[in-house]
Amino acid sequence: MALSKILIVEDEIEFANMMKIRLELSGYKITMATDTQSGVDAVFNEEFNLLILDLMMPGGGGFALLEQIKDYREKRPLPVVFVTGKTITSEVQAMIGAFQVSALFTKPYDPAEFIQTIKSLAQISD
Amino acid sequence: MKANPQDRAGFMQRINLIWVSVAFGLIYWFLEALREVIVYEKGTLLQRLFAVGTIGFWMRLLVVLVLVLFGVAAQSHRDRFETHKKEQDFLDSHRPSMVWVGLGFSALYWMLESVRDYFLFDNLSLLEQIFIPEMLVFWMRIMAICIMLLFSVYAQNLIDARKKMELALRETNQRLQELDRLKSEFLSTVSHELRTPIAIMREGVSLCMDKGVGPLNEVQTKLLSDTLSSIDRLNRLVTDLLDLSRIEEGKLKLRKSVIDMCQLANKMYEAYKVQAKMKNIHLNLALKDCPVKIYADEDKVMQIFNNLLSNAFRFTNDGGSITLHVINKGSAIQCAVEDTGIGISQDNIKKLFSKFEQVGRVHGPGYKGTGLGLAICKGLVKKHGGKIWAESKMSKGSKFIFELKKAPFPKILIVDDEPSIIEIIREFLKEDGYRLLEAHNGYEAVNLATQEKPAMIVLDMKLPGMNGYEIVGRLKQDMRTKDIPLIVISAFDVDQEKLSHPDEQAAYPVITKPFDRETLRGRIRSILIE
Repeated sequence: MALSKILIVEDEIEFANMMKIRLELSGYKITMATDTQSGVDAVFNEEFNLLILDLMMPGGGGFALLEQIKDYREKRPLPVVFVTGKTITSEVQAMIGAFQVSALFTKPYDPAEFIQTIKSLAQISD
Repeated sequence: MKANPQDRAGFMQRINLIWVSVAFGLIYWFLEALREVIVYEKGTLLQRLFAVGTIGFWMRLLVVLVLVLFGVAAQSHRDRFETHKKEQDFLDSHRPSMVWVGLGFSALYWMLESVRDYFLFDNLSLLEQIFIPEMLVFWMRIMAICIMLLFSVYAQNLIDARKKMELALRETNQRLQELDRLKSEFLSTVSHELRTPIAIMREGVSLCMDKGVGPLNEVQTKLLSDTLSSIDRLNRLVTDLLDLSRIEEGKLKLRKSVIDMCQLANKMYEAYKVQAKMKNIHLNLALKDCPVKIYADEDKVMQIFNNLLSNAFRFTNDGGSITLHVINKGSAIQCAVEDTGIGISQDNIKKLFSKFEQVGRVHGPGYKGTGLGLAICKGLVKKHGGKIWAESKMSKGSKFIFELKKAPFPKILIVDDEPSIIEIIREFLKEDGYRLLEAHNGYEAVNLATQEKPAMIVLDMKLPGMNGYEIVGRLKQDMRTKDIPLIVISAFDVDQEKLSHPDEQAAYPVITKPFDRETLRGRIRSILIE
């Protein structure tokens, strides 16, 4: 059974660690990056089944990252989930539509709902 | 030209000192001129004008001109300084200037006239001169000068008082606005900063409680569960504070669509059914005249219901009941949450909708409110142009009612020459509650767009006569129609550059024929909601 691989790009390391623990408990293999550029590098180096991004990060944040991997995502589908502490404005809503973000969670999220969403987006393949 | 009251007041103040002096000067001048003609009636008009006695007339004219020029100069000098930052200081130090202008002129004029009078009646003593009938004019002049002086002092005082008041008001207003802005900004920044640590605490505690990182004993579980509920309470407070600050800042934008209140009440009923069963509370629905459609923000109306329902659950005991009402009142919709709970005293009812007023706060363990719920409800209802109030009897129960006005549903203009396509669109727009305008060619389209101001235009590019590009061009040139959102339907590729206005970057959404009904429906909805 191949593990489904998730990349977490989040600059709040404590929070990223906790997401990692929770997702590993559900059977995912987690890679972490703490800024926009290393997130982009990770996407190009390794194949992932899902991206979990923070909206605001050093080096531009989630949308800047998506802009850089736009061509990559056109060739290979890569679902994206946002986790943010920011209030969702209509501009953010519009960007989410434009970049085809699958789900958006505000901090703190409801763990059950979070895991449910991740499961539906990154099914563990046999 | 539209003049708002403030502009008008400013204009009146600016102009009236000049005109008072001009008008007075002119009236006086004419009266005197009349008198001159009567007194020196010998000779032709030309002779009279250059007679020795008429010198008074010329002097008077000169003085009136000087007065007018001086008045204009003084007024513009004042105007310049009034726009200056140190307006208040200037006003204080120069306050009597216009009074002195009047006084100075009057004194000068009076002296000149007296000298002239003295020469005219030089066969009489000064005392005799004062009381001869001809001196009546002299006394009248004195009286007129006195009246003018009194009037100018009075007018100046009035103007000064108003200026000062306006200035003080403006300053206070600015200071208050600035303070309010700072408060809101501070609140939203702080709330965002609070969210990450709250998320870390919550995730850490709930990971432990999910026992994924090791077993817990009973005491540990109890401690962690209390911690978790406190974290959740803190999070509610932050969320409510953020919501309220957005409402108060006016940043909150409603995403309106046509919704059925009955359906929404049903949703709320389903969501709270389990909680009601657990607390042994009868949850009822009282809906009348369904469906009751309204143009409102569904999420925000649900937020209002959520706040009212969670209050009702908190203050209603076992065996009590909670009822959701929706009543169609014709021009408005009334919704209510009624409970058989502990009730609210008349004194407390007045305070209910203020921030941080927790009436009948529950002590001990359990779900705690933030004291902001009803203030948020009030803000949301107000944003919809409605009102909210409460009725209650102690130990009998309370009823929270909000009323939303039925705003007219938005109009959508469909421009197409194919009846079948109009038919498809008409069908689902009717279902969604929008009003429909139909145009079959470009001329009709442009006319309807300018007259009816639709909320959106759905335009087929291929039309007889004026084509799609021309129609868009016309619509974008007209101030009345240039901001109306457009959806373009076309069987061919659409040249966006030809379509969009040179100042605009945004491209218009294009739906290609043959189109999927639901795609178009979704597009229309998402654009209207924004």
